[in-house]
Parts: sequence; C-alpha cells; structure tokens
Amino acid sequence: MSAIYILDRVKLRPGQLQAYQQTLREGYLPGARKRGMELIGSWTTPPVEVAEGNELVTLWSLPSIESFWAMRAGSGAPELATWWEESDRLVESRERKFMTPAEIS
Amino acid sequence: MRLVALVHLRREPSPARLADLEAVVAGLPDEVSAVRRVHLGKHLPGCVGGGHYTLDALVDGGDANAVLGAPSLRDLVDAGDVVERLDPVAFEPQHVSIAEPAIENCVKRTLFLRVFPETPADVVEEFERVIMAMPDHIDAIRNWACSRTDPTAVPTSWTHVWEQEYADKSGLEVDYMMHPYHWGLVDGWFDPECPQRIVDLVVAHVYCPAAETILGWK
Repeated sequence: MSAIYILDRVKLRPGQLQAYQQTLREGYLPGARKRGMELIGSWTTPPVEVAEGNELVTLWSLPSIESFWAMRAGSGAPELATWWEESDRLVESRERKFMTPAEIS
Repeated sequence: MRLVALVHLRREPSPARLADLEAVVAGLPDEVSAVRRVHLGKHLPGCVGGGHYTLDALVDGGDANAVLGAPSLRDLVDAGDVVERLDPVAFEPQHVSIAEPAIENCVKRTLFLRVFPETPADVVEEFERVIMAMPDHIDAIRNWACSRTDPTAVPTSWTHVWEQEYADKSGLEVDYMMHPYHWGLVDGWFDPECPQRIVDLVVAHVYCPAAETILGWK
C-alpha cells in the first residue's frame, strides 16, 4: 500500500494569513506529527497577501493505510476539537481531501 | 419490521446465565407469534461501542416491542445478573441488496450511528448515497442494508443502521477497512477534522458470525 496524502485547502478571512499560519504551526503541527502526519509543505495563494483573503494549501502524508487509521484514532481528542473550533474563526471555508499518488507519464 | 438490539452484558455473567440468554432469544418465535425470525450473534474481537451480542429479529407488522416485551426476555433483563442493558433500534427495511442469498457461515456487521439533527435533509441523503455506493467498490460486501431508524417504533438516539454481510472476517477487516473508497470518501463524513462531517463521534461498530443471511430474511 502506497502513502496516503491529505490536502487541506483553507480559504482565510481577510487579514488572517499570519495568524492562521502561527496557530497551525504552534497549535496543530506538533499534535499532527505525534499522530504520524508528516508535513510535506504549505503554500499560500495568491503568492502575496491580498485584502480579499488568501488561501493556504497544506499537504500532509501518512506512510500507509494502517497509519491513516492510527491517525484517525486520535482525531476525536477534545483538544483537537478546540483547536479546529478556534482556528475556524479565521476561516471562510475549508476542505480536506485524501489522495493517493497518480501516474501521469 | 426489523429490530436490531445490541446486548450489553453485566461484568462476567455465569456461563449458565449466558446459556439462558441464548435460549430465551432462540425461543422468541415460539413465545411471540409476531416474531418470524431471530438471531443472537456473539460479537467478535475488534468491536467498538456495541456490547457483547447483536440480537436481530424480523417481526410481522410494525410492533417491534413484541420482541422487547416478550415476558421471558423481559424477566431475563429485569433479573439484572446477565444483561446490563439492551440498545435497540427498529425500522422497516428500506435499502437492501442481497447479492448472495445463500451465503453461509458469514460475518454480519452492524454499525449504529447518529447524524447530527441540524444536518440539512439533502446532506443526509448525499451521505446515504455515498454509504450505499460502497458495495459498488468493495466486492467483499456480499449483502447489505442501509436504514433510517424509526424512533416512534422503538425510542433511540441512533439515526441510521448500516449493515453488511461478508463471506469472512477479512472481508470487513481488510477489504472494507482498507479500501480507498472507505478512507477517501466515506470516512470524512465521520471525521471530526473534516468540514463535511455530520456523524457523531460515538458509534457502535459490531460484527458477529452468522450461519446464514440475516439481511435476506423474508
């Protein structure tokens, strides 16, 4: 079984890019790593902060389906629910997609 | 009408009282004329949140309480030394697919879940559509049923029952759990980290052996 990738696309409220990056780094990333999620990268678009609000795209990976379910076993933790509730105040909308590698050549 | 009750046992009931439970359930069709079929399945290791047995019953008419109110079962539960509680739901069969009616020595899996009451109706329907498409992708699901519970028949906070029958345990533990349709499309409805999530964290996920189909009962 190949790796599983998790793609987060977060449309931020205007002016919240820095605050969201900070809470993601300090409030989410350590716990995510403990649950086996590896941060592949994080990007913002447009590539400069704009008044309308930016989108933050974050890509995570898990090495296997077993590690996916191990990660999910911790996703109901109350402190995680609190983090999502608080960070969602900075967010207009978001989505989380689950992916596997695709061959295109 | 179908009734599915999860049986939660007292801590360490005696083997004799467990035998009493099994005998009482087996005798329900003789005791209550409306009870057409009954099955008591002991849960296999790996179940979560659903007690120790699944009691399935098929009842003529709409009175699921014919099962729960049977004197022998009532007496056994009231005695308090073997059954801690029953967690029952009842419903008329709704979405059922029996691809293998002659299945033998199978594994029957039952999932009780609660969709949040504020969920819009069209979103609930989309969730049900996604769930019911699982057998299109996961061949190990031989027979299945997806049902909304009827709390007017038997009071419950569970909103849905999602049942499947597999040829063996690996159909559930490997084919079902590991399939990308499951973790990639279905699980997000249950995952508190996903914005589309509409299902309460507390579910009852149980499975038991069955000598023949239960979902295909007529």
